[in-house]
Amino acid sequence: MSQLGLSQTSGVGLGRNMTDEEINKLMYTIGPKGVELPSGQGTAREGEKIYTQSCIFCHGPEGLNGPQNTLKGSPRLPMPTSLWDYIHRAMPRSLAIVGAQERQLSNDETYALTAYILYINGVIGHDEVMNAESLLKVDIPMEKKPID
Amino acid sequence: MKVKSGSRRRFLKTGAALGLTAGLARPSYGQALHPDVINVTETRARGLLSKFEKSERIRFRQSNNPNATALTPLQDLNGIITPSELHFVVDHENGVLLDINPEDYRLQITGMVDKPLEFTLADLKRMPSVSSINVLTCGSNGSDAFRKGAQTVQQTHGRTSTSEWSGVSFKSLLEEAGVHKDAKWVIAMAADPSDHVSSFPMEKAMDGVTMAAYAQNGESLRIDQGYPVRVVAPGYTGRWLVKWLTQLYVTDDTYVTRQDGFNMTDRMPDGRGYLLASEQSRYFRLETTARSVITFPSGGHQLPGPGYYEIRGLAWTGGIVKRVEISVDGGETWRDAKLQNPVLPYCHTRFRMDWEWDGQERIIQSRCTDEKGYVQPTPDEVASTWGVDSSPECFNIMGEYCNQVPRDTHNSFIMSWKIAANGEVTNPMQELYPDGRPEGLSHYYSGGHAFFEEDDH
Repeated sequence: MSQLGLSQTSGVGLGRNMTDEEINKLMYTIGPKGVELPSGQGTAREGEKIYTQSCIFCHGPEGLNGPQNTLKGSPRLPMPTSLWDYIHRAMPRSLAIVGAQERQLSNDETYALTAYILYINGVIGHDEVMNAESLLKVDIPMEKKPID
Repeated sequence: MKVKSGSRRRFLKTGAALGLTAGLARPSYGQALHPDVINVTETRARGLLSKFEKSERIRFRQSNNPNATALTPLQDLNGIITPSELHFVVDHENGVLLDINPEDYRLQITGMVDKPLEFTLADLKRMPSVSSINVLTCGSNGSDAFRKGAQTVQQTHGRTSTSEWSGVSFKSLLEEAGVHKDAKWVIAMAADPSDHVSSFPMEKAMDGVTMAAYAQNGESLRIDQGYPVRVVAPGYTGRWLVKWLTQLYVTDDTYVTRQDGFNMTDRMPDGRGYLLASEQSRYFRLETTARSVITFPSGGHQLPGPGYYEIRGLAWTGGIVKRVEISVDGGETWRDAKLQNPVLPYCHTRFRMDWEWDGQERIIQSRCTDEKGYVQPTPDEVASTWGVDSSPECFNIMGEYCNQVPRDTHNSFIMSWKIAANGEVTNPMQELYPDGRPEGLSHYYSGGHAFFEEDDH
C-alpha cells in the first residue's frame, strides 16, 4: 500500500493477513474434484457403529423413519464429495457447537459414515474402503428410485 | 354513490363552520375520538405500536421444525418496504438462534486469493459501503397456495419481503484479498447450526452490489436476519443469501455443496430431477422468476358490498418489473395495472388498479412481465413446462425444508382469489385444481448423481 493511499492495488488496506495455521483450519470445503480430501479411511462396517451411536436418533435405523431427513433411498447429495463435505461440516447436528470451526467428526469417522450412507443405498459394499482415492471413483447410480 | 358521499362531505364542512357540531368531543375533526391515554414518564426508546395494530408474522405449516418459519403479513402492508421486524424468516436451525457478539464476529476470505484476510465487523464498516433496496424471496414462496387450509396471502405468499440492505460488496472484499485470475466461484459459508453454504458465480460475486450486509432499513440486522452479517445478492432467491456469514471461499469450480446440489436445479417437464440433482435436471437456477400476487382483496377479506375497490398487489422478479396485468374474470381478459413508484430492479413493485365490483362472483388474478418479456405463467403452463411437485410422497420426504426443493420456478404461477357474491374472499386454488396440482402429469423420481458435463452456466 502506498502511504498516500494511491496504491496500484484496488484494496483499501483493511483486513488482517491470516496465518497458514488459521487457513489450514478452514480447509474443510471439499469440491467435486476431491483435491481437498484429507488422508484417512473408513468402511461402511465401521461407519455403522458410529451411526448407531451418534446418528440413529435423528435419522432412524438404516436411515429410515427418523424424525430428521431420510438417508436411505433419498440420496440427496449429488456427489460422494458433497456427502463427505456435509457430514464433516455439519454432523452430528445435535452435538454441533454453534459457530465452531472445530469439526465434530475425525477424518476417519467421516470416511466411515460416508461409506455407510453409500452402503445403505446399495452403492458400495459393506467392507469397501473409502479414502481420498476410492471415494472419487464412486458412481451413485442414476436410475435408483428413492421411493416407489 | 359518488355524488352522495361528496355532498355529505360538503355538509360536514358547512356544519362545522356554522358551529352545528356541539356535543362532539373533537368538533374540529367532525368526529368523536375518545382516545385512551398513555402516560409518558420517560423517553420512548423505540416507537410504540398502537394496541389497535395487530399485524404480525405467523407460521403456517406444521413440522418437526416448528419455529423455523415466520411469514410476512402482506395483506397488512403498503408501499414496498417491509418493516424489519415483519420480514419473513425461514431458518434451518431446529430451534436454535445465534446471537453473535459483534466484538467476536469475523469474516474470512480464503481459497484462491493472493492474501487470505480476516475482517472484524469494525473493518467491514470502515470499508466502502453499498446500499440496495432488494426483495428477498424464498424459492418455495407460493407453494402453499395448494395446501389445505391456506386461506390468506400471508399463508400462501408470506415468504417475500423488501428492505434497504447496506453493507460491503463482495467485490470490495475480494479485491482486497486479490482474486486469482482462474477463480470462478465464491462459496459463502455461515456460522449457523445447519452450516448453510451457497455458491456464487464469480460474475455475480463481482457485480458490486452482492454484499455482506450489516444493516437492514437503516439499523443493524435483526437476529433472525443473521446478525451481525448476512449475504444479500440482488435477484437471487433466499436460499443463496446465507445468514451469519463467516467465510467467503474462492474456488475454480462449482462445489456442489449439499444445499447447492438440489437447489440450483429445476425439474424436467416429466418431473425428473425433482428430489435429486441429476443430469436429468436443468442447471443452474439462481434467480427469482417473474412473480406477482394480489394482496387486496385477498383471502380472508370481506368486501362490504358492490362498488369501488382499488385492487392492490406486489410484483417482483430477479430483474425488473415491466408490466403487471389484472384479470377480474378468471384470466379471460386482462387490463394493465398502474405501477406505483418507485419501480426498482430486484425489488417489490406495488401495483394497483381501479375497479367497480358488480357484486357477481369473480376470480381475480395478476400476472407480471419482466424486462426480458417473460410472462408469469398459469399453473397449467408451469406444469407443462416445468413439471409439478406437490405429491404427498414429496412432502413426506422433503417436509418443511423449502430450500431443499428445486421448485422456484414452479411456484411463480398466477395466483387466483375468489370473490363470492356475498363479498367473501377465499383461496380457490384447491377448487380450481382438485388434486392439489394441475392434471396430466406423472411423477417420476429419479435417483442419482450429478456431474456438470459442461462448465456452462
